[in-house]
Amino acid sequence: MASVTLDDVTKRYGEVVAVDHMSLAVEDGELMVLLGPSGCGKTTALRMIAGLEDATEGTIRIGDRVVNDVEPRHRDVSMVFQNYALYPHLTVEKNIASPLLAREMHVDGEDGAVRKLSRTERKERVNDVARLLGLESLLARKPSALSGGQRQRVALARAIVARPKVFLMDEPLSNLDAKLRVQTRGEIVDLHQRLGTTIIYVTHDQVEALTMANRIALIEAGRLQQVGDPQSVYDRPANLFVARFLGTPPMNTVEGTITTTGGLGVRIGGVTVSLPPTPGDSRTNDGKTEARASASVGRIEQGRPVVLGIRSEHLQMLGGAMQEGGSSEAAQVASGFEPLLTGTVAHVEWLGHESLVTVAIGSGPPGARDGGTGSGAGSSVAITSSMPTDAVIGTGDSEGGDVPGSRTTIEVRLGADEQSPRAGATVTLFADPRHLHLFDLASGQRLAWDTHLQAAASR
Amino acid sequence: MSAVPASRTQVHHVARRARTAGWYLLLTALAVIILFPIYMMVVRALSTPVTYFGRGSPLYPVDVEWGVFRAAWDEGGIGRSMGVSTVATLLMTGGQVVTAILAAYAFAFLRFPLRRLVFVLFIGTLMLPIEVTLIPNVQTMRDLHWLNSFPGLVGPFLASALGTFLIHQGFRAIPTELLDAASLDGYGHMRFLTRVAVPLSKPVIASFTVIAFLGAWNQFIWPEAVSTETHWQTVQIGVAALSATTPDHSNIAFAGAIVASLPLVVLLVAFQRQLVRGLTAGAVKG
Amino acid sequence: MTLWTRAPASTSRRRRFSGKEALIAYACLLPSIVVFAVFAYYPLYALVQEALRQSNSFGTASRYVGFSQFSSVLSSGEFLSGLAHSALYVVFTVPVGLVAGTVLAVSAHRRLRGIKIFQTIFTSTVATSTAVSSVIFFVLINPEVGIFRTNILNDPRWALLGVSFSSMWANLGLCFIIVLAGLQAVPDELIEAATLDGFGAFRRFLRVTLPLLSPVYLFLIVVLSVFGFQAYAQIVVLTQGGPAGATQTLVYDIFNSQTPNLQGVGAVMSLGLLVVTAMAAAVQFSILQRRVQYGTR
Repeated sequence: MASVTLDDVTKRYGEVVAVDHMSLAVEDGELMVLLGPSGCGKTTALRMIAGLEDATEGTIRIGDRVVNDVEPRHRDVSMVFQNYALYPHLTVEKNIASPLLAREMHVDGEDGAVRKLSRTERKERVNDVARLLGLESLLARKPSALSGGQRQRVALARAIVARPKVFLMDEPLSNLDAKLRVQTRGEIVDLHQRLGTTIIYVTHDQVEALTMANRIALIEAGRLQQVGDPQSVYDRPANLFVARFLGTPPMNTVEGTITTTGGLGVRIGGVTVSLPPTPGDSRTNDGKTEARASASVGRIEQGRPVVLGIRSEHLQMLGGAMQEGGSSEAAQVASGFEPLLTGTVAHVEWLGHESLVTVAIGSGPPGARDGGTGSGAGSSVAITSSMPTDAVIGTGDSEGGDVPGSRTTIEVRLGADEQSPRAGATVTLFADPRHLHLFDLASGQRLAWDTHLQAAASR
Repeated sequence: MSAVPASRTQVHHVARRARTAGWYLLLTALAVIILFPIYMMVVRALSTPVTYFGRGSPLYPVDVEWGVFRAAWDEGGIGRSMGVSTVATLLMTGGQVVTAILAAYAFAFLRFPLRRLVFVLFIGTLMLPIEVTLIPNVQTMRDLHWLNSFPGLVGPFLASALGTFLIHQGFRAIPTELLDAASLDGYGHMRFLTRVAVPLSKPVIASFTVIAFLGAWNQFIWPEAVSTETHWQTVQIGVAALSATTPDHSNIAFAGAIVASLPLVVLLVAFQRQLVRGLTAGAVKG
Repeated sequence: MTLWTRAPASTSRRRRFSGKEALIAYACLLPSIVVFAVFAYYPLYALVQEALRQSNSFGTASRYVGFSQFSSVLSSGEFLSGLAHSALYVVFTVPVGLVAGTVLAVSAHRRLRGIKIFQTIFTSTVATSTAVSSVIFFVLINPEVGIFRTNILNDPRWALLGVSFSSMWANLGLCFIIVLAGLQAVPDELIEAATLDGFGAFRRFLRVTLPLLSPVYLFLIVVLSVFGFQAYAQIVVLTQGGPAGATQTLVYDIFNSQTPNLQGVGAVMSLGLLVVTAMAAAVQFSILQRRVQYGTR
């Protein structure tokens, strides 16, 4: 068992930078998931750790040893490949034994002598691993006679048999069907707990990452975006990429500009969403997240273009029949929060255990302050559902430019027992301000608005 | 009324059977055309020439004499030339397969300077068949005193660009992941070649082996040029030489031709799949 | 954004094994390189050297004559008739091979009981060498001992055609195999789609199958042309170049120019043959490469 450290590692193929100055410390015994879209460089990073690729720059350590110039077979790592990489002409037994043939390894007893294993020792180890993974009855078969799930286990067995310091797994579940994937996910986590070996696990599947990882490293365009435990990266995404990549459906994001007139808020279209100070965001600095670029967060000042983010499950909705005849105050009372945005239901996807409601927004919350024109607080901006939303968003604001001309939609998740609105209904959305995320439009970096506000207040 | 559909089905049925019969008839006719020359060779080998001509050359054997094969083998020199052909063919086939595997391995898995140039030079030899290089190659053999020897017979055919190319393609089809896995497993080149690359490319290597054998066994112009002594004639040369004998002994020539073809008949029956695959990929001279 | 998850093959294969790669590579290549250097490229060099030199009529000495020998040999009656005979041989055998291969393959490309037996029979001429097939045709068409006692091999006008019969027959197996492989590679859906479009069997073949077979035919044309230009054993067995030189092909001439006094002439003719085979090989290689790349089988 060992830690794995990438120190400012870069991989270039000619002009193309596959991995860009990546620094990452994987702790001993940790299950670290490298997560990102295809082509982001996560597999290249893994292959550099394995020694299948050279690092162009930077240092790679396994434990305390710098391994940049160490042959793959001497790095004491095992790899599980996406397509399993089983030798098709060898039996399962010989496949599992293959890492034991040429590699030297620690021998049981004898104070951990390092040498090649004898035939009986190999057989013993293969049998042990086969028992661990329930492969005893398949040892004489060829890979072609196995199901996909069985092949996957053989690949795992081959990785385990060498008792490496680190397991490297390159999308090992991507060729399994959905049901088997969930099952195998659990098995790998079990295995990790039993063996306690460091695992570096590459995937593009955020569900795998969130369910399996001790920590997740999010990678985009060769750069490390954020490292943290699943909950912290989900709850406090360091930037827009992380915010949108994690979660299904992706986090809703709406562009707007900061306004500080009459308290901190974001102007979206013609309306303003207020951002009351909350204690919630203090977790940003609790050390659990390592947002690389958090230092670059700019000042929150009047007119700054920003992106407001909110996850679908953090939104509540009032609308249709419920709202008719009622005031926004009544709605506010019902939800417990201030209204955020108003919009029109575009369509509803019923998924059984939940519903996803897509709302085309184009109107601010009833009673939103219009800081730009100075119209009184509390005056109702009655935008009806019959008004074309595009027109409202595109042309409704004389200041212009702070909202793209395209139609903005927001997805809202409703529980199975909540009544879904009809398409075309006007609804008002509410959210706990603690669940609102603010990002700088230009850099995509997270903006800690509450702390800023506190700082501004103390100034 | 209900009889109408029934009879209609019957008509269809009859038509289909007639069509099937028609195909069999055509196939049989074609088979007869193809086999007729071979059949006549057998007839003429088995028939005693004088009696056969006396009967007016019928389409069936006359006065069958099985001793003709023995005569071809011994007096006709086919036995001796079969020996020469067997050794030469095995040397050429084995040599080509081994050198092609090695060269293909270098092209498929190794990086080395001038790789492209070397590859082009390999492929370029496809443009230099033995017919083109015959005269200087015979001179080389004369200079080396390799005329009438196995080195002389097989020398130019110990490497094959076609084989290198085909096996190279086979090696390239090995998934990259297996290379990675072998690398992590600590396999060296020797182990990777013998344990992974060759076993996984068995089909293509087998195909090439079969067509290399075919080409080597059937060689004519080169052994004709370098085997100036009867003792070093290959069986093809021997058969051709026998055919020049008098009509009264022509049965011996045909018997010799049959014997010379037997290894290829075995090849055709036992390795038809490999043969077909090899010929469709490479099309060597048959 | 970059769209890869793994390095380009050439790069990723870079450091897979321990060093000294180049040394190992050349060790692997050495046997082939030696054979090719000695028996392919050195002869090419020697041919060019010889072609520039002319021997005296006794073959005891030669002198440098530059390219003059090229023009004299290439315009000589011997070379031109040899080339013409070789070309004619190709003209005889190639179309017959294409048509016969197609007839055989189309006949045997269907689901019938025992079709494998027919396919094996149709392949069988592959197992006969040129020498053997020539001897077989000796049986069939020899004026004295043949089944059909034609005079075709003694008639200068017909002898070359007579010789080519043996090649036509011997090529049947190969032509059959190659066209059949092409037919088997035609996707069933295309044929089914054409059936639904209302095309009959003949039009299906003409409009769907035949165009898809065109690479196969190109391959076959090249291979048969090379065979035709290389024809030698047939002539030795059946006519020895006769009658009256009517079956002296280019290769036959080259073989018989091995006397010392004809070295330069033989070299020039060899280079002439090289040009022909080089063109064929270039086409053959490009087909080979394309086929492997798109992997129909």
